[in-house]
Amino acid sequence: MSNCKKIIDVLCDYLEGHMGPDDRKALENHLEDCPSCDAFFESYQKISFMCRNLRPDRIPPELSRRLMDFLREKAEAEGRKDHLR
Amino acid sequence: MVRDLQDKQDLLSRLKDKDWEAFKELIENYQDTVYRIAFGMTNDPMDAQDITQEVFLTIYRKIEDFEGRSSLSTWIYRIAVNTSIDLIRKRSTRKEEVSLEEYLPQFSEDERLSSPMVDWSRLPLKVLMNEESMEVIKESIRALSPDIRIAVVLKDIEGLSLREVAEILNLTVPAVKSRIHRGRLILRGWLADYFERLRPRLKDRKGSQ
Repeated sequence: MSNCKKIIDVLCDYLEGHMGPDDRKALENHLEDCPSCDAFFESYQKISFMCRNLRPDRIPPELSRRLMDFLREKAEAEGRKDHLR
Repeated sequence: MVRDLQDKQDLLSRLKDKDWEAFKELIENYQDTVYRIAFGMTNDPMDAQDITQEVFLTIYRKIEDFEGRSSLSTWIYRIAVNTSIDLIRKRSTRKEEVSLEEYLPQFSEDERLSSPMVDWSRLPLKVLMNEESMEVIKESIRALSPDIRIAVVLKDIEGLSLREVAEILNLTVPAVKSRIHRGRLILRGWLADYFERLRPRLKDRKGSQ
């Protein structure tokens, strides 16, 4: 696993721990010797970290209230329909 | 653990009986994630609102069909994904597809990395995580194609495991991995482009201190 393309192709497997010990070692050796791939790997890894911090908090409370009212109405209407059957 | 399982089964049987209180509990537990999936997929608060409503209505109507072959959360997220995809497909004719190939890494003939390497990962956290950078990453996620975007949303934003994402999207784990990998490569390139353009500004700021 000596060329950059092969290294970059398996970065996801590496981060997921889906690689055997020999391949891991070969990848880590390449990163040590190749500053371009090392920089690439660092920024690739940061993507998940940044995405994780995007987590848009919660459903807006107003929407949550409206959602609850809407579904309660629907549930009651469908319940009545079932009852009449 | 046993108690937890019992509670879940109890909730499920109350849901199947169309017990409103049980349904309310379900909405309270899942509304944030369903909304986040819908918002992540459409990036539009109004669409996310419509999808969230539609998802819970579908759950209410179809809960009898839930056979427990997957977990309840996987079943719910799958409905959220499918409802979002349906809406995106209805609209996709209006949106122009942006070519993202330029953001993928470039290699020389002997397969060495040849694109210039902007090492933005070592920038201080306050620059990486400031409002503008976060807006750029959101914009780049919006530009991904829906099939790649949803894999990135579920794995990297929601933090689900590869196996869960595969189950929700009805794909194999390697297929999910390949979508996530492609998505991360594009996002990485997009951000490299942004930080490269930002560099003179960062230097100025440093110089003026």
